[in-house]
Amino acid sequence: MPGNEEINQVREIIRLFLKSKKILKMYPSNNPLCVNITDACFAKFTEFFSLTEKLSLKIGQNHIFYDSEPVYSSTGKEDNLALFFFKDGLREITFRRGLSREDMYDFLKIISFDFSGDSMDDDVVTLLWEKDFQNIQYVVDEITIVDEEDYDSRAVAEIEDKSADEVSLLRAYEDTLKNGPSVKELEIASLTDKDLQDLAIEFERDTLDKTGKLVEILFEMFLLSETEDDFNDLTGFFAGVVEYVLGREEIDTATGILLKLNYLKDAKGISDEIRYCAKKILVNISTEKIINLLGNILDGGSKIKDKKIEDFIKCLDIQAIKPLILLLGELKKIHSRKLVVEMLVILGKKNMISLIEGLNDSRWFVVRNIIYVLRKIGDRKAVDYLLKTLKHGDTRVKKEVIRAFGELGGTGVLQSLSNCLDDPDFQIESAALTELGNIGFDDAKRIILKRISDGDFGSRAFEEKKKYFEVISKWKDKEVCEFMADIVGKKTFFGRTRNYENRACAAYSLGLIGNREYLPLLNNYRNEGNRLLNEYVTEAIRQIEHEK
Amino acid sequence: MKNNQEREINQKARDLLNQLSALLRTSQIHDTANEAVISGTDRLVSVVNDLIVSQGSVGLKLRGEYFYLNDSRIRYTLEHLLNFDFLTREFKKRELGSVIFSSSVGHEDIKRFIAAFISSSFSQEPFDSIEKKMSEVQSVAVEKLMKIVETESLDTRKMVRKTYSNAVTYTGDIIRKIRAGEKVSLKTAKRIVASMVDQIVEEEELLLGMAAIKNYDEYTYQHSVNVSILSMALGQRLGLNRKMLTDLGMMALFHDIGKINVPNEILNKPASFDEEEWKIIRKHPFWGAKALLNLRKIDEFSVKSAIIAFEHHLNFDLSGYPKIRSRFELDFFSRIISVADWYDAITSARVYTRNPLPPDRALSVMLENSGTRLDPLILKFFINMVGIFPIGTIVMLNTNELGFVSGTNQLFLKRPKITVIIDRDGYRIDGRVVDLTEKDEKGEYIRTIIKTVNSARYKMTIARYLQ
Repeated sequence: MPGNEEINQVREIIRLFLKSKKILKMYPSNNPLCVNITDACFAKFTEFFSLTEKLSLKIGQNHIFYDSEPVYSSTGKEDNLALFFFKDGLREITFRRGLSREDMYDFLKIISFDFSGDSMDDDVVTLLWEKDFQNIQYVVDEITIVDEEDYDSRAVAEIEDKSADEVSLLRAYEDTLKNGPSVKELEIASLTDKDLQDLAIEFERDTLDKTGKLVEILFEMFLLSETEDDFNDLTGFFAGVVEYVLGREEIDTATGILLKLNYLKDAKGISDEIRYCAKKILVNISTEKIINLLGNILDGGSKIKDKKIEDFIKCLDIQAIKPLILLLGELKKIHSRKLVVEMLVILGKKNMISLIEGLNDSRWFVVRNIIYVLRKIGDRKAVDYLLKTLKHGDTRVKKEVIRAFGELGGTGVLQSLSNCLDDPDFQIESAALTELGNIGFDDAKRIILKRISDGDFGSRAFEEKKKYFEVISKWKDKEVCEFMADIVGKKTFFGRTRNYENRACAAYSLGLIGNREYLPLLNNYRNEGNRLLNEYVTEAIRQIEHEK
Repeated sequence: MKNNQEREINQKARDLLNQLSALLRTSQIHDTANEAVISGTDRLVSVVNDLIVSQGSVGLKLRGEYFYLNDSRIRYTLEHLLNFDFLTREFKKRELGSVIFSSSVGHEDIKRFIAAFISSSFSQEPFDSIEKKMSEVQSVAVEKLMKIVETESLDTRKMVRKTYSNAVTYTGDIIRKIRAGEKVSLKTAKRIVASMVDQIVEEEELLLGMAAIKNYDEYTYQHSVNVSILSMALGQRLGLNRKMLTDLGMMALFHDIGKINVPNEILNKPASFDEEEWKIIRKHPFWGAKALLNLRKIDEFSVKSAIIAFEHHLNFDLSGYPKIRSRFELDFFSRIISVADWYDAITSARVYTRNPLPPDRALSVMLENSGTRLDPLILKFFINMVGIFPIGTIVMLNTNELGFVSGTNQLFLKRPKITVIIDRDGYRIDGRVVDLTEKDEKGEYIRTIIKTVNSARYKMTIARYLQ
């Protein structure tokens, strides 16, 4: 019979088990609480093993016994340690002296698992078995694991019913004795060192990942498929495997699958059904789920090279555009966003309409990125959609649209850019002005000249005016030069300060145009008496002469 | 520092096992005056004494499937596999659990231990025989083998039978569930396979004996369990660890799952199949892979098990079925399971043959297919495992006794243990076990197998003797 002290120690150990069950479930292994509770358990066991060799616990449904003394009792369904062990068939656990702290932690970790989920493939017994503890042994009642208890005796009885009766058994004996063929010697070669070496090679090969092999088999199955059901299943399997490999960051395997499906989708000499299904599978793979996994890789600090990610995305179906746009809004790293944007340029070329939907995204930066993508794609059809986006509330988006207008050009663009010149935000006006200059059409020139000629133009801030003259100088034609020459020479009595500013801007513009014919004109106003004008005229002359 | 010391001791411990194994093998063939035996003894003496210097005393203990040196498990690699395997079996056969060298040993001490060890195999109580002979040797002591789990109260045969029947019941249950589209958990499968792994290690012959019973009504379920057992037993010989054995056992249990789509009237058809029926049968690997991939989200288990379900009827040369377009190497586990599957299938009166072959003939047929349909390396290990007369083979002895093979002998493959069921006078008896290595006073073998019997022809079963 164990003494009181011993029993109390066992009770304390059980109490620590219960405490660790809660702590280890909640915190990661390096958390100080986990470290402390493991240390406490280990210390308690060490203390116990100084008294005796082993600690053997008998498990009942609601009780745990130590040498027939109850050390734990609970009638609850939840948090009942006895029931936790009992329901999986554990009937006895023995801890022996020599138990290491590492094994102690692993044991506590096992008992802290939540086995209630349907997807769990393990129970406390399978985990204990897998750990193969040297100093923790257990006894299990296997009767609990299958429903039918009497299969074995029933099966044996059935076999015996059908098996030979005494007479036929003795007939077998007689027949064999008289006529049975003699034993044919079977030559068995002994195992050699070479066999072991070959086996070692097999082991090495077997450690390689098997997903690639499954992919090969899936393609064989795909080509062997006959029914709609088969094709539907295969569609799901391919998507499942891509999901699985992306979860493990094996992007090459995923790309391999997509490349092969893309090949099959267009291959000659293959049935229409296969081609159709290959396409369907590609669509099925290009989903939000897969793209989100890609997002995890992109933002997760993976060492996968950009090129590999690009190769994967390039193979996706256009259905991937929408989820990629959504992902764009979620990605945390600028580099990741840049990569997705580049990929959208490639995929968007195949289907711009899906891309256009991204213009309605609530996040300004997503919209701006989509406009950037449309700019890079360079399809003028995008302009019609961008016109609406010009009304976006965010300046950064508007500026991007204006930039796109400048690059894409087209009929509707000039009027919109002209309208932007009326925008109260000079950033917008300036951007529109720049793009009008980039477009370079005569119509664009007229819009700017008209603005400069407007009566209230002179009242604008100097820098604003300067921007107009800077842009108009891009045309460099006679009309513009004469227009500038007129302004440079223009003198007024009223509002002279503003007039000097206009003249200075015009001189600046002539300087940028660089036409030497206007050097005499400029020289005439070199010493006009206004510091600003003198400065800009001098600079224009210097610039034209320097052009020489 | 400590790690280096541990590694060094482990290396010495492996040397000890290798030397002991080599010496026992040599001594079983040659007498003590033989040069190889003398030099082997010297080497063992040297290794033991070297260990005694560093460790004080040397306790070599067998626990479960592992050897321990003074309570530390001796880790070994593939190159030591055969020696470790041999030694484990020889120790178990003699119920020898520990050999303790308490002080420096001499040539004579080791010689006496080896002699006691070898002669004990002819004794009814082998351990007692060794213990008695070693009682006069001061420096060497022996202890009896202990089981890991204290199951004295449980009958081992009953446990093995229970495990086997659990496996068959579970397989039937899972097939019904998959057919009904119900959710399937692998928890139970893992438990069952884990039990089978333990028993393969501890009671391999009993479990192989269960696989040798052919119960015609439950063939489909039983076949899966048999293939699982045979695969795990083979896997153990190939040196797979516990985790790998469990994986292998699980994969094997599910390898034929595609048969759920084969109509029962075909599966249970008493006559041979016509071409159309064969066409359906040949689809089961495809269906199996589909069923396993549909069973759960893609994970390590579904990846591996689907590969095996798809490949298990593809031959080593990639002939077989399903017909594949690309060339790839068959998975290692697929090739193991394929060998086990062949063996169980051709020794059972079911789908692939209506005329089951006796085990020894089955091996002969398999050898004819080595290198073409079956992997030659794996087959070689398999045949070395089951022996010339696998467990369950019904044999006639030169003494006119009839019995079945109930235990193999790794050293003398032609001389397994036989459970005699009809005596030399033609009377039925209740299973007496005889060892064919037993010799008479002239040194001649007392019994030898001269004929094998086709048990299916006479509806003979070994079931009742395994209860």
